[in-house]
Amino acid sequence: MTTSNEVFVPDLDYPEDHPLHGRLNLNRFIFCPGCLIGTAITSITTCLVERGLTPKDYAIVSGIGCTGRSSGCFKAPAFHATHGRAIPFATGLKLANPDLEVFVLSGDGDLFAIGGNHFIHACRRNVEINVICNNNGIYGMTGGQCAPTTSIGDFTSTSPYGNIEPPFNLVSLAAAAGASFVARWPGYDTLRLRESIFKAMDNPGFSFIEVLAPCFTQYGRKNKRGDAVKMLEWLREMVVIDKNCPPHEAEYSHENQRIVCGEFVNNPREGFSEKIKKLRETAQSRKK
Amino acid sequence: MLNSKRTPMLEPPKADKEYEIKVYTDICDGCELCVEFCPCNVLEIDMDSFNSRMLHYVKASALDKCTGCKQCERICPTVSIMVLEKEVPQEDK
Amino acid sequence: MPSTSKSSSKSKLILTTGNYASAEGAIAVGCRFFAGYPITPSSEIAHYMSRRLPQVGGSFIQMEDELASIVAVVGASYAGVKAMTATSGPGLSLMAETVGLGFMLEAPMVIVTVMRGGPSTGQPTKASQSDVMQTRYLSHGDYEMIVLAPATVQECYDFSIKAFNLAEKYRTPVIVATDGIVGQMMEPVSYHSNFEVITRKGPQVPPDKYQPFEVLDDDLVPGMATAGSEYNFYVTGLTHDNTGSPDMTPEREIELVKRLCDKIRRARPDINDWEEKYLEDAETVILSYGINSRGNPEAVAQARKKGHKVGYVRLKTIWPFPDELMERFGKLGVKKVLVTEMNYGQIIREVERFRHLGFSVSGLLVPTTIPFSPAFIYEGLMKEVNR
Repeated sequence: MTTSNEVFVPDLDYPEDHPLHGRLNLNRFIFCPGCLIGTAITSITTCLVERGLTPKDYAIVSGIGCTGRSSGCFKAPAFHATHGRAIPFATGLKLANPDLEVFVLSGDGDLFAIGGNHFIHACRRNVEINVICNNNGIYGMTGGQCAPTTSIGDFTSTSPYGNIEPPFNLVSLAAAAGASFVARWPGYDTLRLRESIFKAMDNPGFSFIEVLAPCFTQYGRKNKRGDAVKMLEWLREMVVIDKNCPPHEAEYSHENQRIVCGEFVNNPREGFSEKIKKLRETAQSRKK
Repeated sequence: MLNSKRTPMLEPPKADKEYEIKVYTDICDGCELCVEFCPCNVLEIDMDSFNSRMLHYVKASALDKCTGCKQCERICPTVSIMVLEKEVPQEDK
Repeated sequence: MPSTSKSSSKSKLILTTGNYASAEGAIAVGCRFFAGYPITPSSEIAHYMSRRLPQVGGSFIQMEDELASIVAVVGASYAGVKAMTATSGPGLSLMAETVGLGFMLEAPMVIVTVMRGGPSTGQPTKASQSDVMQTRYLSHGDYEMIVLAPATVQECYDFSIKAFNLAEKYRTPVIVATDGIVGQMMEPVSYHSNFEVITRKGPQVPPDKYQPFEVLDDDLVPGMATAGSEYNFYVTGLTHDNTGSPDMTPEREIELVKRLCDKIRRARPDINDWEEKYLEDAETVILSYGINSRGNPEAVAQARKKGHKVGYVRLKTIWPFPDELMERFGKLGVKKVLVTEMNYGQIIREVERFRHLGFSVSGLLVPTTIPFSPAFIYEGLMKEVNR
């Protein structure tokens, strides 16, 4: 018995002359056309290519959900962990092989609902991983449920009368938990996003970048925000870029029509695997 | 509209440069992000043709207006559009 | 094939606890990553590891919970390091989901679970054997688990080594199920180095042809690439094809689950191990495992003095369940099997599956937190013999 769909799917790949040739697997791009998850993926890849890093120098970890499927798009050591556990997976990778540049690319529901505890502890520990959170304010893949980043009053599958829970302000949370690099950019502002990705790679500790990538399929439809482009216009009207804003004042509010973007924390300090290296020296000298 | 408010992020193009836009048609999803983000209205969706996945793809209909800001290239979720510099033969000198 | 190396040197006898022996065994066989979360009665493993791992160039990390610990272990395993964690029943419950991930990703890793009284918080400072079924049916989905059950402190050391070797050989999570008493009692142990070290099979083809789940050998174990090598790979907990791409067809699910389970099922003769005594002439056999088996020699010796034809068997690997042993019972003409467990009946259900081989099965099942005394076992044995 066979139930598989016999749909013709062409094998997509970049031609040899493309700068991202051999870096991305286009057949695993399952995202809605116009979704900025793709832009985040290509931004990271472009930064890695510009830095001259080859796939043996980096690893990508993601959790579950729309953005969770993004790790499959990379032609590199890429890991699709369980729901919410992308950060501890990356922590294990980084500690076991400190030479790797480890990226966590996951969604807001994955990183802040089920994986919220891991996030704050990774900030505290200052593990040398770069966490890029695609914040779409909703659970896209499971059918548009209310997320910890859904604004008050927004309609989702599980808040049919409007959301009554206040959302997390992700950059304030990261800064308060002790992350050493924190930024927030709208997904369309690729130039500034890429600058921040470079800074995150340079930062010796835990880096967190929130990318605003509104979901038009679930969020846009339920809240009558229109298609991909209309939602980006809506987002653009709310975004205020303020590079000197302290993180606790970086407002994230749909009601006030104000989302403050910028780099809020850039405070490099010694990372966890460096500390472990020193700990080993101490332990070995005491043994003698 | 987005494109009416945006200004190019890169410096204005030098006089001796022209640009060509390369579209990898099979990879293009036709999502229109590049069309909307182009500050100079260079691009449009080609409604007359399909790629191998039966999707309309983008084409450069007003290439002479291109300033090489590469906004389309960066916003494209699959980098299926590339802006390439074309050296113009300098005949004046 | 997995590469093996053999080493041997003089061994010393020292007095230590089962938990320390478990940790030292892991370090001896090459474990260099430990992520854990404190839980009685397994915490001593973390104590020992935090002291020893930095000395040998490894990494110790105390994570925020068991969920994170086990995921970090999978991550470290995919970075090419032998990794383990230690926990007890409640913590193992939290690890359940990721053990399934480890099985799906075929990540070699070792989990030491020091069983304590349950359910829920139960009796944290006491021993029990009530997590035996938990170790087998921990995660959701169809899968096979390898579980070893040490009964002595020496076996804690040896089984740590064996667990890592099995994990690396078959690319699968392996659980060592000790208990609160074995873990915390002290016995003389030889930290010998007279063992084989197996390391995982690497990729067998060049990077451009490599597929992370392509099986090239008869043992159904694919070669494992690690992050930081020349190899690109994508691994996912979704049902995947050989390239790692998610594949939602029923055919693929059948193929993948069958291969993953058969990998362990076919290797049963290599994995399964038990200790048996007087089985040749025994009509009644005591079957037990772990700490609870330590009263058996005394009880059986007493019974044999009285002229009863009894014997005993101690399972060293509980899972996969040794079907071969049951067939052996049938062949030798065993009439009665008495299963003794410190729980209210778990392994006995597995033994009952084999009643058709001609023996009756009864149990000495007490959900207690102290092991059965030889006198108690003898009493139960006599009841069974005279029944």
